[in-house]
Amino acid sequence: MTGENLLVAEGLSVSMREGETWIPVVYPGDMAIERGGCTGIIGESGCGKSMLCKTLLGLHDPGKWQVRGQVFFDGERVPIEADDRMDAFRGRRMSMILQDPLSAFDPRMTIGAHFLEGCKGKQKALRRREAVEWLGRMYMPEPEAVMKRYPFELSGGMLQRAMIALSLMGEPELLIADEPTTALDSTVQREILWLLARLREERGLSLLLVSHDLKVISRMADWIYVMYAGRIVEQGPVNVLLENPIHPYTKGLFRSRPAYSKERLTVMAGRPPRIGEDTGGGCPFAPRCPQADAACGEGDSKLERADEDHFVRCRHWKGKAGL
Amino acid sequence: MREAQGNTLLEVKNISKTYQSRKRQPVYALREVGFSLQEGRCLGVVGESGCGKSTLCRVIAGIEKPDVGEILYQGEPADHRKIRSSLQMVFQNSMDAVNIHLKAGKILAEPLENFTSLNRNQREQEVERLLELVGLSAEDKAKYPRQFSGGQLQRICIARALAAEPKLLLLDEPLSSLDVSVQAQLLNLLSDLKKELHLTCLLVSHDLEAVYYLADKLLVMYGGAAVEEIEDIRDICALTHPYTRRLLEAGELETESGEAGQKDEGILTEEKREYLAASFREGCVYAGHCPRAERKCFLERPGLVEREAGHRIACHFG
Repeated sequence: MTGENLLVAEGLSVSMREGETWIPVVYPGDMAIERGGCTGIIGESGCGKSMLCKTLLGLHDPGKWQVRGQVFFDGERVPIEADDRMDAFRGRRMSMILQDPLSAFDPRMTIGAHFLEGCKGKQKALRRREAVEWLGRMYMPEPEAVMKRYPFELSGGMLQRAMIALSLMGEPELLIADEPTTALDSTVQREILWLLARLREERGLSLLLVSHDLKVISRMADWIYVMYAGRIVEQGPVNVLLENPIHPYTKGLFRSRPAYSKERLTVMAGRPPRIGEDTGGGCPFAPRCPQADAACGEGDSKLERADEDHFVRCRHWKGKAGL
Repeated sequence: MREAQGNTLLEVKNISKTYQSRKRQPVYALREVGFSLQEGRCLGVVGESGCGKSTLCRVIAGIEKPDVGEILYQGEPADHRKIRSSLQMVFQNSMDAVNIHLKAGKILAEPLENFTSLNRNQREQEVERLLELVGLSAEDKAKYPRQFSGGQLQRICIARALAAEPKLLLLDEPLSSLDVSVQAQLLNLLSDLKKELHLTCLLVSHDLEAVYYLADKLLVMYGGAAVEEIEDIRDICALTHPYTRRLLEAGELETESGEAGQKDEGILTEEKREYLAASFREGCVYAGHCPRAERKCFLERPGLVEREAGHRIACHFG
């Protein structure tokens, strides 16, 4: 990566408790988010994208989840294991917006009340002014009126804007957006993405954008991580990945979208392994992979450097890269 | 029109449907929507949520009654009790569309019991054939809905719809809650089935690219009205309605232009609301958001008129 890294995760893994055993959900992996950049994570549902995001904010209940590895924010170690010490980071230095804006808000509270939660006395008036200001910055028409509305009175796009405003109140440097536009119409989706891109330009906000929508990721991100079955299978700068994807999964994903054509789609057969499903110790993609051979069944492959900053987890990347 | 026309299977004539909101204000779900669909063709209906595309599906399926207008099936007014078996529907959320306490075999056997005279053994065979038709295996009939993934369950729903050997398949956002790779699998499956079984389809979706892949003709809806219609979807670039343009451009993200951020309808003042409501009753449905809107647009609703062969548009400037 060219610029300076804002967040670095080293050997980060997540396991889920089931009875006495721990089932791996996210396998150990490294990750970096560039300051002022937009890093994208793409993959099918259940591949561990959201789990990874939650881990960065230390949102996992230690009784049910086991998190290993280190996260550094601006060179400082993030205490992801200690809930009480995370307050210095959550909302202040990094915050998160979620997929479904309607379920993220309390239906019994007005939008304004969400902004004022935890404020008392004089603080309140100040906070209210700030909130109106922030809503205005999100290009929200008539922010004062919005403060008095209940979540169900606003459209999905407006709620998503309110959520972004709410998460940016503490002026964080990093915004983690977990499928921010999946629940929205394509025209509204465009407005929200435009807003996020603008925040990045104007305020130098760094973004971690999670999506299963290739179109969204390829337009927004400058660095892509492709995840499959809890593993990062390919990573690199967006233009490199789009022009020269190496991992068969990435290729399959890119080919799956009908791009205004009537030509038959090349599909990846099968489905990704479920969490905890036994993949026989081999490459988890092998059963769906057109290039798989006997070697793929023996031991998981490692993330290897294919080019300057293009990494891929496939043992055949060299021999069969031209395919 | 360019393509040879088969017999018209479905004709929807100026149907309107209005709901009453709690404040006793009418909600116009459908306004004088009309189109015809030839046998073996697929009509794609696109538009954002709340534009009436699902209501259109429900009205055609007979789940809702239109206030005005009529639906002709094979040239005759549709009697839904008679045509039920030849008109089947696939819904968006497959988990809600099946009884989770029944095994897949039973789910598929139900329409066979209702619409065919097959005996128990024949039904069993038919269930297996249907499962294989949609790319599942015969053993899957012993599984419960929860044991399937979203894509597999949607296949079951498609198989169930096909069990009654329908002529017309109504697909209401069949792909929306699925992963890209699963969407691709189902798109291929639907396109194969359409050819093999000579199905006529109505595909409702907000995903223009998926619609383009599957549909032959396209209907664009906004605010309950059809704003543009094109006979051959391959001419998609020739569409000119301001809303359709915006829909097409939504695929392309432009960070430079400042206008994109301000298009949401916003919270309206009472005055604006009334003005818009008036335009909603009498004017163009898109006038409130249209960059080209003039006085005339708010006062007079443009009708869907043929601009050139196979292309109809509802716009004063069209």
